[in-house]
Amino acid sequence: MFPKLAIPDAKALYPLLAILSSLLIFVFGLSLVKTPPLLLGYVLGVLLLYALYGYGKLAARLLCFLLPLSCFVGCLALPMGRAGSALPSGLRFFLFGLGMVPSLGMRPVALQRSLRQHKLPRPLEIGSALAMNFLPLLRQEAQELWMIWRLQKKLGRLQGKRQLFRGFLLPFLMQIFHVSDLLSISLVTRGLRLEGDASCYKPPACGARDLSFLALLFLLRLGLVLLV
Amino acid sequence: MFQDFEIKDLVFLGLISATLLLLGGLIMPLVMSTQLFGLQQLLSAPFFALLTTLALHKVPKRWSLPLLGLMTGSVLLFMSAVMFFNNVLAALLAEGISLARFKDYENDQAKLWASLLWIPCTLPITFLFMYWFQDRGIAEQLAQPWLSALLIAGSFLFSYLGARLGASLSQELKKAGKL
Repeated sequence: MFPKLAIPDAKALYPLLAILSSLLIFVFGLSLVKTPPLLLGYVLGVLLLYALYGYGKLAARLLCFLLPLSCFVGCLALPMGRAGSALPSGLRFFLFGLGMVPSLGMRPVALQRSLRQHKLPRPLEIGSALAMNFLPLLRQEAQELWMIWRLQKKLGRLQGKRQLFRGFLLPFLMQIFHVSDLLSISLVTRGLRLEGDASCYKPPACGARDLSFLALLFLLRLGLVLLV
Repeated sequence: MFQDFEIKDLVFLGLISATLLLLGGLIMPLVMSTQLFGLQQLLSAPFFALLTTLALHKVPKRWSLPLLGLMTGSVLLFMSAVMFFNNVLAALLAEGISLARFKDYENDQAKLWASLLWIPCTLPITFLFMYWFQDRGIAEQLAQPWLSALLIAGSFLFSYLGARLGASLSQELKKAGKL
């Protein structure tokens, strides 16, 4: 998921600032949900900002499935709650997705370097890097096991109430254990250690470009406040 | 705090948190903006409890659960700060309650209790976040009190069932020599 969406480091924002921007875009948008014309202006402004800072392609790709998904989430709110909550629910989901663009555009390794640069605990660094890097691998494993399970079911090799348990869940967990063992051996062999200072190859720097993104975002929100 | 952990423990917890994120990513988008208090917990409870039980069987150390919460939460932080704090604080609370009763994770009951309490512990935290930061009062959050009560009870039940399934899976994995 992440490597396909990530944009080149030269164009991406400073990792910690990207996370902060994602949060601010979502929160600023939420504060405008009750005034749809201003919200529309805000969304267009954010999209323009994305285009200016090299996130245009990623935002366009995300919008392709974010728009229908937001409509679906809004429709889901109809039977679950009041009819009036459908639009805010859909908009909240849309803003949540829109805000994720700077975070999704960041490469996991950039975040890892940034965490190392700020001397955050190493377990957290290793854990979050694994959690981000191995999502595609796990998804692939799950898909393959699911196909094997369905094939075995069709061939009549799996029968009874516990077929999902024996045919899918247990092999999937065994695979996680197997990958985990291989990875730990690989990390130890490569000399990774938890104690002492770690060197940081190409530490990301927070420059004027990153700060100007944040400043423009604040200006956009401030401009809309003045319009109210 | 994390000195007792070896690289293999961290790798395993990292992979479990990746699995939790993968499963959460399939289910949570559909219910993340629902107004019904407790529905999100009801759906996430079984698989969180199942995988947490397995994680605690493989890494039965203090701080395992908060570390798992931190790893999952640090990825969720890209999307929402609320989800990060919800995960981490609930993990701390669940481990605190379980270890206050059982002292350490040597006892299988301690693992079961910590796993089954993690998601239900997010209920009061979610409630307080909504109350303080989104200005949603008690009446608004519990607009359908009976349904919410049912969902809360359901999330405890599903969590328990997930943790029990996790415990029986751990037995199978022990037999297979993987634990």
